[in-house]
Amino acid sequence: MKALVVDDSRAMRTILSRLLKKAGADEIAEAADGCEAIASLDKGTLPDVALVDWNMPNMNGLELVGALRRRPEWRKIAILMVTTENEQSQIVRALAAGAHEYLIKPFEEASLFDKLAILGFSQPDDGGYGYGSTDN
Amino acid sequence: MAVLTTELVSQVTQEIWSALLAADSDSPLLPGDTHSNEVVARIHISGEWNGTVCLHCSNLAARHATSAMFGLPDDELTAADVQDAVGELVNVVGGNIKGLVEGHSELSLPEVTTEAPAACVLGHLELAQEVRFSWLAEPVVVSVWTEPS
Repeated sequence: MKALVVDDSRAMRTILSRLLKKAGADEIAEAADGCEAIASLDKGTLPDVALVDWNMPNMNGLELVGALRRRPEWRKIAILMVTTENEQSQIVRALAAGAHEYLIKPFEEASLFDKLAILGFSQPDDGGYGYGSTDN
Repeated sequence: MAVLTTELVSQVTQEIWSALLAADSDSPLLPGDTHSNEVVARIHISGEWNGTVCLHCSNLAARHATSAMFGLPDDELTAADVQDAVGELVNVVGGNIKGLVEGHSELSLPEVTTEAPAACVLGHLELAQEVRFSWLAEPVVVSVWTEPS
């Protein structure tokens, strides 16, 4: 599994990257906002999954989700919003914009793994990966 | 304001400490009585409800939190690490408190002040809630400020 973690907090990126490694991710890129994420994607290797925060400077997570859905070559990236935004209307907006799953901070480790499993990324012990992992 | 009680603010903060800082039975976030403004982080909520959420703590508490989040020993932490970690903590506390108030509102980006004394200067806002904790024998305080009713 290749992953992209987009969050303006380095501390949160560190936590998420640590958990992604535990979930079996073998390649993890990080970006501090939507602009950095797009620059990272433009450089080459596409992730199987992107973990995207909502409130970030320059380009927020919702705008990034829209950008990811507009580019055909990026549409296969599974998007998991990981954010403190917990209003039902905001969750609906994110899913309507193209996010596949939504995880509210703070979260338990198991909750993140459950969301990854829903997206098809089970841990190696559970039999390998799924969604988007074969075409990139 | 809706149902923003001391108990809810306390519960939200406890959950965040448990999830992000592994504050478990060995290092629980306990009720406290002291206050520190050595580090103050704040985040603003604007919309149908307007207010500010502040996280106040000692330098040592901030460094404990930063160490836990980055998974680094204290002597490897930088001032920027501490700012980032405490900023993320108030972001999560503020976001969850925003979820407790009525109507749609937006969350600002966090601001962190580490130059003591970093008093929480909030203009015309009134203190609505203040919950004091003790974590690893260091003071941690969450305060919620809102417009006068």
